[in-house]
Amino acid sequence: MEGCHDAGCEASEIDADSTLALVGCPNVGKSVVFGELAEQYVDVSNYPGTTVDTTLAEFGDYQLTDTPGVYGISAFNEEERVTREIVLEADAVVNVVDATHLDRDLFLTLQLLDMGIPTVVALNMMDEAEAGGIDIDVDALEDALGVPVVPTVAVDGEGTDDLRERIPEATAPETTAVEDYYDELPDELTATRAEKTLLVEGDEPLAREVDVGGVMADGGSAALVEPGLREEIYGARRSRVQSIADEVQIVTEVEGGIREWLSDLMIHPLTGTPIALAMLGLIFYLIGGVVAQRIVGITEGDIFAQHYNPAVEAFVSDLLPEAAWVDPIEFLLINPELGLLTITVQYVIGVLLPLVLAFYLAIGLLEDSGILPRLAVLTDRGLNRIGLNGRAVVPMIVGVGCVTMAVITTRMVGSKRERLISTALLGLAVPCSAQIGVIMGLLAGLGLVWWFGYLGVLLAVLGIAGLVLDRTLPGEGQALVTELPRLRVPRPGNLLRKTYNRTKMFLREAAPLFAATALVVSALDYVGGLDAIMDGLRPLTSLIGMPADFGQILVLGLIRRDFAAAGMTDMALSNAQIFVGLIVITLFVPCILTMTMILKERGKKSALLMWLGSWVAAFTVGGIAAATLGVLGV
Amino acid sequence: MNCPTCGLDFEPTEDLQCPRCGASLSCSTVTCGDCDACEGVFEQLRRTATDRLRADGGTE
Repeated sequence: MEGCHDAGCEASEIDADSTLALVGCPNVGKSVVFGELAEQYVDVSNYPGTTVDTTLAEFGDYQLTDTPGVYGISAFNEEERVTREIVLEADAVVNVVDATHLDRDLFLTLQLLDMGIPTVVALNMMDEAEAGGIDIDVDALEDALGVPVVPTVAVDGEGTDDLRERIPEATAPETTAVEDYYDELPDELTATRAEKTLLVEGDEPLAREVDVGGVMADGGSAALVEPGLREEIYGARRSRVQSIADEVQIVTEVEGGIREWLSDLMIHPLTGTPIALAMLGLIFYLIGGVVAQRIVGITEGDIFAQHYNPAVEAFVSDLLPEAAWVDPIEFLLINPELGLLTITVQYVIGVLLPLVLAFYLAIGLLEDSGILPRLAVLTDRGLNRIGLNGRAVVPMIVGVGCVTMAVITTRMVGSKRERLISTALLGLAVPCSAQIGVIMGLLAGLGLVWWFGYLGVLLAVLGIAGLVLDRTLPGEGQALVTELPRLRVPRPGNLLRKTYNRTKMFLREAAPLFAATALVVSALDYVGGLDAIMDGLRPLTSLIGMPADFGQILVLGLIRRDFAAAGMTDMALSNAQIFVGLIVITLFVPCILTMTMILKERGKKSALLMWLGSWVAAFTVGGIAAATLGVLGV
Repeated sequence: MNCPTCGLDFEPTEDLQCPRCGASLSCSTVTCGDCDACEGVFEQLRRTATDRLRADGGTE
């Protein structure tokens, strides 16, 4: 394992003779088995689709590959295409099967065996099968399949030693029921059994390869066989699956228990909505209240502002010589707005680190318990109206805490189109917890009507922007295809390790970007660029009925949203001006940290469009609000 | 139709079972717009009624 890191190895780092792929349906424990075999940690969650890419490790003489979960070897989506490629190249496969879903998972097993792929079956989650009243005759299953079957409880490490020992026995039956269909393929076709099986099942990428290779005589068509043949083969395989499952397992009815009851409550709109709101409220209180306000108050306000920054400033001033050419260097390193060694470190370590840790811990809890996919199902219908599916609820929840973090979590929402919509909505109309704290303080002085007015404007902007993006962006929204995993009590070890790994990866990726951004902004500040920007903003501030000083607030908002809100507390403004000002700074451009992350995740063009779009939205909505309040005589 | 569990695009037959993941679909989990298993309106009504009866613990 030398040279490998926590998230896996590069292929070039592995010196192995053979390749071994871990293959199975989503959420059956492949990554846990991978971690046990390779003796290294990979991200594991109680949520289908955790592994969206492949992970490599060295395992004895094998290069071990963890693959995304699939229900069959085909090419209907990206995960299937990735897994299919790896299976076609692999010397052997460990097929992880969920013992509680034998009738579902054996389809993939039989398909692998039909393809002639040497296979060992890891019959995982045996503990949950037992608890669910499912008794599986492992020997009978081994006889029926004709390959080694090893019962495992991978999360406890049970059975993984047996699995290691039996991997060299990986095999596949010499004949397959699918062979009868091979006659449908062109006579002159030279292909392996795996390729022939996929070709009779109508595998289009493979059919195109065959065509390109010139093997196919009448070229041009992607399908080599009759269109209905796949369904005939799939239907026959499903009958074989059902027959084996009926033969090897006895299912005894057991009471659904509290988990089933809770699960039903969570996905029913009437009961699920208040439960979800209560959970989100709790998370918001813990992250927005406890971490963002109190813990960050200590790290940022006490540790950095009182101790670290003065010490670094004194050290740098002492270290640098007294000379004119030193001034710009000293400014870049320790200026009070965004000094590289002071405020930048304070943002990353004192502000972001506690928030990031808390978010990953909260999200990990939601993932490992199985609550997250239930929230996705509950919110799916509402989010469909703005071009998103239920998975987008996660970034929206995270965004109310920290939009920068939420931009990262948009990776899980599905297609590129949905990632773009959710990122744009986050950047536009979702205020972060630090900003909300200051905003709530300001609105509290005005009364509850203003608070509801503020929320109403934000929700309207969110809905309208979502509708516009849904109708203007090319493509269609993806349906939420997810299977609900069981509700489980999260394992603290996995939760802590996952949080640690994710936080480490975040800091590794984000810290250099923040440092570079800080240098550019400080350089602009030093040459007077920021003052020039403030002067240029005067026409806009007058458009929304705000004094010229509000330009300074906007400049602060370019760096951090809560700075802008905090800056407003010192201004003498009317109630209407406070209301309009708060709407504008909420809809105004995302903070520098968020923009850096949007740039990284969505690219230059999207980042620029979102940044400019925020200007337009902020001043348009702010202008309308100011005019409306003026007409109402407020 | 697309199976809501595994995403397989398949032609629905009488029992509305996905041939790949084996998920049993019903008229309460799939809308008529996403499924063309029925020959006409009367079959749609019969299936929907049967499905509702099953859900209520009744028989066909």
